[in-house]
Parts: sequence; structure tokens; C-alpha cells
Amino acid sequence: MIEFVNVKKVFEDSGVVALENANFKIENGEFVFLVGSSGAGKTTITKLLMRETNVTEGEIYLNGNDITKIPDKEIPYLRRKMGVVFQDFRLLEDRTVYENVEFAMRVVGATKREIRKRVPEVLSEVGLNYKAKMLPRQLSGGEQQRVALARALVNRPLILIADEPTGNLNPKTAMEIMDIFEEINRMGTTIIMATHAKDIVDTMKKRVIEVSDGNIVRDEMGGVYHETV
Amino acid sequence: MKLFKVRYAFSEAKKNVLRNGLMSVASLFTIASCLVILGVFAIISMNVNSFTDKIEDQCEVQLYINAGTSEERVNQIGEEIAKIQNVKEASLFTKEEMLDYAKKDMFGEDAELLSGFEDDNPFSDSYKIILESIENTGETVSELEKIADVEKVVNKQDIVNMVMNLSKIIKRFSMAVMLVLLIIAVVIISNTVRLTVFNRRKEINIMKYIGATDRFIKGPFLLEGVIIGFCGAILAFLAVFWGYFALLKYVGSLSIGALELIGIWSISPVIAVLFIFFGCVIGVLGSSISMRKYLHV
Repeated sequence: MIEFVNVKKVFEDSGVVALENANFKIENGEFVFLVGSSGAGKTTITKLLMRETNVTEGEIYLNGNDITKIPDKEIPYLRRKMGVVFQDFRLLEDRTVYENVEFAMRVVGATKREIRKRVPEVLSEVGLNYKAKMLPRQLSGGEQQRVALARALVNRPLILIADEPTGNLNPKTAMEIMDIFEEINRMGTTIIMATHAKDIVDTMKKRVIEVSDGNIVRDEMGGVYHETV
Repeated sequence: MKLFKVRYAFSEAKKNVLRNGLMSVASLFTIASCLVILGVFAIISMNVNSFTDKIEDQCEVQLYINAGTSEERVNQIGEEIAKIQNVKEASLFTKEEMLDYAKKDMFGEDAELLSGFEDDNPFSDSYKIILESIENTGETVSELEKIADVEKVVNKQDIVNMVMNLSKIIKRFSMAVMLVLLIIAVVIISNTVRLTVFNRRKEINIMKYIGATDRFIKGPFLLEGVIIGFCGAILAFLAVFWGYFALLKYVGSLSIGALELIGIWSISPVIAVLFIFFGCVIGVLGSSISMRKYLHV
């Protein structure tokens, strides 16, 4: 379970208040959309979760542990509990699909045997096992996002964080990707997705947390995209 | 660290070096040049030390006894000399021996000019004294001068002082030059690694999100610096070895006594260890500075 308790984030260099008095809980296995205009504070929430930045005030609990207090050297181990997918895919261009996914396992010290078993398995889950030897530039945008998804999933994370994962995709491909996300969620992985994709949010009818000027202005089960403020 | 991580760090470091080909080569040659200069000063320093040691070994003082001193007293003076600290050895050189020496070695064919001096020998009896340590020469000479019937004590303190001072100046100058060169080398290698960090920022970013540890991310960059430093050290060693070998060959026939240069096989291991140590230290320092400034993991 994830819990934000009175979280405030002020960026020291600019003095901008990115998040103010944020309080919410996300249960294990939930699918949550973070919506709001650009600069509202959605990405700040994902960055705080990954400890890419730390809170100014408040606590963030992950399964009962306050992650704002963990020492820097423990951050990599926190991140191993999470998978992350970005709008721009962030694949290694000089490595094949297989190597991109394999790399994520190698980084965390998986054995060759584990890698040989798990990588084809996860590529199959995202429907890309037949393109394992291709380079990212030989793939369509949707396929590249699937590779990024496979990489995020390969270490069986508890939480999958996605920042505008369909931002660079056409509506049809975006829906295909969302089907995969839904399938992953059905398997028990918690999904937190920051998005501007109104159609997707409205269609999927999941929990919606709306952020506006750093404040949580709406937290609605089975919500839609509309902006409150 | 698992074998994969070590292998990964090495293979990535190798890739980094090759990717930044020109910059790596430039860094390598700069480090090699710095190490060569460092080596030259080290060799000069070692040779000056060896030269000073040899002078110390040969350090002698000449003690002259007043004319007319009895043979018994001369022998007694010998015993008194032997009791003084820092005296290693004292050998008597009688005035008759001195006259013979002058006739044979100084006047040669004109030795007859000295005939007739046998009855009125102008030389004095003297002791040639070898000292234990060159540094206490002044005190020892004062002690010797206090002995009764001693006319004068002549020593090579001026030469000794000059060599010692020269040695100190060379050592200090070498240290200053080495320090400046090491700083230059560290800055250059730091720039090379910085370039790699910049080129690979996307990959580093991905590794961070995947959960790679600092050590895993930093390892290849640290090794990149070490590889460049190590290769620079090997290159510098080969250059210095060849250069010193040629120098020894060239001046070999001129080497006399204390001026003889240290053999190449005595110098090589010291230089090799010195170069590899400094090469790797420069590499590690350069990489560390770069990572600290530009690699926020």
C-alpha cells in the first residue's frame, strides 16, 4: 500500500510549490490515473514515489515503510520494487529488444538462467517475442512502448509507474497499450499512470486523482478526466 | 560484486575508451608525457641520491701534524683519532711517503728537483681519515682540531655541502613539477570521463530508474580512467626505459667512479611501479572528480 501523508514539495532552486498537503492512499493492485494540466504536480508525485526527489514536508509510506527517510544508498533497492514507463520510451538504441529487457535483469544481479527464462516470457506477455532481435529504431512507436513495458515488468515490480505512456502514440496503438496495462493490473500489479489522455481515462473508468496547482482537488473511484479547476 | 558486474564494468569501460577514441588517445598521451617528465625527475633524483651516497662513502678528511712531532706522538694521535665518533678509518701517511708520492706522481720526470729534501722534508706527517657520515663532518673536524700537535684539518665540506644542497634543490623542484603535472593530468582525464558521462547520460538515466546501484553505474567510468591511466603508464615506461637505455649506452664510456649512473635494471622496477601507481591514481582521481560533478545517481 502507498500512502501520502501531508506531503509538501517546494523546489528549492525556484521556490515553486509543486505539491501541497497531499493526502491519499493507494491499495495494492489498484489502477490509478493522475490527471491535471501540465505543471500541476502529477510528475512530482511519481518522482517522489521513486525518490528521484524528496519531500519538503510529510511522509510517504510504501507497505508501511516511510520512503522519505531511507538513506540514498537504499534508493536503488526501492526502485527495484517499481517499474517505470515514459512517454519517450527511453530505450537503449544500440541494443536489441531482448538486450534492452535483459539489461534490466542484469542490473539487479539476476542469473543467466533466470534471464533466459524470464525475458522471453515477458516479451511474450507484451506480444513482442518474435521481434526480440530487432533494434528499437526498427520498431513502431507502439512496439517501442511495449519494449519499455517489458523492461519495466521483467523484474516483477509491485508498482508500475507510467508517465504519459500513450503521449507519443496514435489512439489505436494507445488503446492496445492500455489493454496490456489492464492485463498487468489484473495480475496484481499496482499501476499509477500520469496522463492527459481524456479518451483513455473516460473509457477505462478507474480511480482518478486530479492535481491542480500542487493540490489534490479530486480523488474519485471510476472517475473521468474532466478538470475540476 | 558478482562476476557479471565486474565483466560488465570492464566491457563498458573498454567501450567508453573506444567511443571517445580521439579524446582517450589525447588523454593517454598527456598522461604518458606527464609520467615521462615525472620519470625523468625521478631518475635524476635517484642518481643524485646515489651520487651523494658514493661521496659519503668516499668522504675523507686530511689531518696534518706539526713538524717535528715525535713518531711516538704521531702514533698516539692515531689512537686519539680512532676514539672520535664518526671516524670510520684512519691511516697514517708519513712525510717520507708524501715526499715519495710527490716525486713519483706530481713531479715525475722532474723528480730531481726535490732531491735534497730528504734531510729537510717540507711535508708533515698526516692522517687520511674516512668518516662514517657526511652530515656530521663539521663536528668531527672540530673534534680533530682539538687534538694536540695537530697543525690543520682539511676537509671537502664545501663540495659535500654543494652536492647536498643541489640534491635538495633538485628534489624540491622535482616535487613541484610532479605536482603541477599530476594536476594537469587529473584535469584532462576528468574532462575525458565527463565527455563519456555526457554521451551516456540517457543510459545512466535508464539505469537509475531500473534500480542500478551507484557502484554499478560508476564502476565503468572509474575503470575508464584507470584504463587510460594504466595505458599511459605503460607507454611512459617504454619511453623512459628506451631513453635511459640509450643514455646509459651513450655516456657509459664516460662514467667514472662516483659519477657512474644507476643501472637500468635497478631503476626499471621502481619506475614501473611509480608509473603504474601514479597512472592509476590519476585515472581514479580524474574519473571521481568528473563523476562527482556530473554524474548524479
